[in-house]
Formats: sequence, C-alpha cells, structure tokens
Amino acid sequence: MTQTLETTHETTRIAPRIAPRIVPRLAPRFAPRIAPHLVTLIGIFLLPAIWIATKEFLHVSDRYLPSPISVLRACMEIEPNVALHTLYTAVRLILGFLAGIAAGVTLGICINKWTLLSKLLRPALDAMRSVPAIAIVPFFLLWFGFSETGRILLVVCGIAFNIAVATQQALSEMPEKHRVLFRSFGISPASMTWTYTIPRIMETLLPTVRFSLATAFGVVIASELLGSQMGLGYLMQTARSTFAMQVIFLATILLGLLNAILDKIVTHFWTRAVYWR
Amino acid sequence: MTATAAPTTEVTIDATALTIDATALTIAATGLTIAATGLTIEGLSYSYKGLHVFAQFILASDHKTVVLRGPSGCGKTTLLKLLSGNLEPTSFVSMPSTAGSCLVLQEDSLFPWLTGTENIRHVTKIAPSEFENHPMYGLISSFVNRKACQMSYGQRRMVELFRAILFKPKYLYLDEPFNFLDGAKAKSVVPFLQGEFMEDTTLVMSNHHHDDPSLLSGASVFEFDGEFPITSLRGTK
Repeated sequence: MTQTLETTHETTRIAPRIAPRIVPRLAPRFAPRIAPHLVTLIGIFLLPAIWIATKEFLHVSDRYLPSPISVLRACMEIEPNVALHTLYTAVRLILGFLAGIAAGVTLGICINKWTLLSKLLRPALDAMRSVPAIAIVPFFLLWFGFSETGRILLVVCGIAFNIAVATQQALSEMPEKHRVLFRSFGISPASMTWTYTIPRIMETLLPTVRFSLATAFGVVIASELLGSQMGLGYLMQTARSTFAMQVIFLATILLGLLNAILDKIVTHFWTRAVYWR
Repeated sequence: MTATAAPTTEVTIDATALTIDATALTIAATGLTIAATGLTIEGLSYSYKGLHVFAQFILASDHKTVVLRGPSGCGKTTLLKLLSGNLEPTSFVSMPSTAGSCLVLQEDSLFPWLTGTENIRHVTKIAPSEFENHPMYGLISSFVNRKACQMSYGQRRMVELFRAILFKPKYLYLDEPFNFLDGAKAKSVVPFLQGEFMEDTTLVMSNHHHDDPSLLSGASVFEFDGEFPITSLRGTK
C-alpha cells in the first residue's frame, strides 16, 4: 500500500516533465475514444456474465434461475411472438407517457396561472399524487373494462399529477433575474406561454420526466398483469401460473431493455430540445 | 317623441366636454412629472437578515444621471433594488415612485432560447420595424438576430441596454452596466444613455469604472464606503 502511494506520488511529481513523451507510447491515439465505449460494453455484458457464472458454477436449479439458453428458446417459442407483446406494451406506454406529460404540464401551467384554481385543486392534487398508481388499477378496470383507453388513461393518471406539481414548482420558483425583468417591463409571464413558460418548464423538468417514465412502466405492467390479452405484463402473469421461469426472465429482460432504450431516447431528444443549456 | 329626444342630445354633448377636460388634466399632470427629474430619497430604512443596511438614509440629486460607486457588497445593488421596487423597504419618508422604473441587473436576463430581436420584441412589446431605425440599433444589428445563447456576454449586455433605452422608463436603474463591455463599447453606449434619447429619464447606475470620466459626464457621483448602516453617501460632484 505504502509502495503504491509512493509510486503514485512520484509519478504525479514527475508527470509534467515526461508525460508528453511517454503518453503517446503507452496509450495509442484511439484509446481515449474507444475506452469509454469498452467500459459500457463490459457493463452491458456484466449482468449476463454473472448470470451464466452463477448458473454454471453454483448449479442453481432451473426453478429458481433458468439457463440463458432456455430463455433464448422461450423467445422463439412464445405464441404470438414476444416482439408483438413488447410492441403492445411499448405503444401503451408511449401513448400514455406522452399524454401524461401533456396533461400534467397543462394542469401545472393552469394552476400556476390561476391562484383560485390552485387553491381549489391543490389539496386534491396532493392527495392524488400520493396514491400509488397501481392502487387505482381496480377503478380503471371497473370503469373501462379491459379496453386500451383504460390502460392508457391509467398511465396518464399515474404520472400527470406529479408532472403537474413539478411544473407548477418550476414556474413558481422563478429566478430573480426573470422576476426583476417582468416587473421592470411591466409584463406578466402568463402573457409569454410559448416564449417563456414552455422553455422554462422544459429546462427544469427532465429529471421528473425520466422518473415518470419509470413510473409509467410500473403502471402499464400492473394494468397488463390484472387484465389483458397481450403485453409483457400479461406474459409474466401467464408464465407465473405455469411456473415458466424462463418466460418471466425473458419478459423482465425485454422490459429492462425497453426502459433503457426509451430513457435514452427521451434524454437525447429532451437535451436537444433545451439546446441553450 | 321629439320632446324627449332633445334633452338626451344635450346630456351627450356635456359628457364629451367633460372627457376633453379630463384629457387636458392628464396631459398637465404628465408635464409636471417630466419636469421633476433627479433623485430624492429621504428616511429610507432597510434591514436584511438582521443587518441594518440603510438607516434613515438620505440622498438628493437634481442631476439626470446619478452614479453610485463603491466596493462589492457595499449596498449599491440593494439600493437599486429598493428604488425599483424589487425589495420592500422597512420604512421611508420619500422615495421616487417605483411605477415606470426599470432595473437591469448585472446578471444577464435575456432568455437564451430566443434571439436578440425576439427578446426585445416580446419584452418591450415594440415591433422590430419600429426599433430597427433607432440610432443605437447599428451597435447590435450584426448579432441581434442570433439566439441569446450564441452571443457573448458583451453582446448580450448591449442588447439588454438597447432594450432598456428603447423602453424609455421614467427611472432607469443599471447595475454595473459596463461589465463585460470593453472601453470602446462602453463609450459607444454612453451617448444613448444620456442626452436626447433619454430626455425624460433619470438614470441611476452603479459603476466601478473609476478611471473613465467620459462615462460620467454631467453625473452626480456618490461613494459608498462599505460601512453599515448607511445613512448618507459622500457626493464627489
């Protein structure tokens, strides 16, 4: 340990003198570009590697941990195709998610604009957003049956209230420089919906939106678990009753992939949209 | 029928006459306000988190340009915020009206997602066709159509100053307006801050450019010494 510390210290001390000469030799030019991707690649394969290693060396029974091969086989065997199930889940999720953001932002803007409305709705809003979305699934099943409308509306309700509160908070916590500006020029922020309010919300809402995406996943799966004929949630539900652990694994993996992809897409486009930050 | 119509007409004529009178009165009142330029503060007290910043503070100047000088944290910005109504004084006897006052902070307040032109148009509600002929427009025309986030600090400051000058407030408060501007740029703005473009405006600004007399022509200068509470300022002119 002492040795390592000393070496590090020594390296740091002499580094400025020799670094320009030895770095190109030690690390090829492409290394800085390749290295981060390599780490990500290792990260992606880390979990499957642990899975295979556990299965291989600890000999865990298929009942608790299915083999990767059986999961891949399940991928081919499920009827209708697993891709179709994934598509159903993805479409429900994306529609509900987009509608939920639109509804939440609109509600948030309205609450911020009209104090009376805020006073009127705030208690109900606070109560609604604390109710777990999964807990309102039975209501939606009774109101809308097994219809797609019900499932999408469930996602909307699951995320809209939190987005509304975050929107209202973003707008009420106006930076001092903007407050001074509006006062100085005698204008109201409410008169600049597209030129102030929306961009201001956009630049503060990304964390809530990403969190809402994860919530939306939970809600859409819960709705599929409780009443559906298609979707990854439905697949999990039927697999549970037939003890098909490999199908549950497959659905979980696909869900994880879908979440990762959608989160990347949302973050990518959102960051592009707020190009000024 | 004819008999009832006649008195109604008479009443209408009377009302018109009254309206004209009221307009005349308003014009007279505006005229009086314009005549009263300068800055008078009396008995201003303000505390912030237990610190008495101003105590029975007095300041009087009949100049149209007032410059506040002093080290950082001496209360210049606080005074500008109090004068513009962005901070509430604990008490005061006499202060300029906060209505019609415009404060431009040191911190850039252009919306980065809008172009310079949009920033001017949406905030002042003045159409580009009206301000493109302004003599100062030439100083910003080369970059005003860029998004604010693509401008340098200096360019953004120029747009902000142009916007404030265009707005012609009764009191214009500028907090370190020449920050981010080089000497030549600062000098090019000065004629627009003073003189014919701002005839009806009293300009109050904080400034740490001690060494540039051209920025201060015809101004009364007040020095902050950094001691609290502030009761009065040393006038150097």
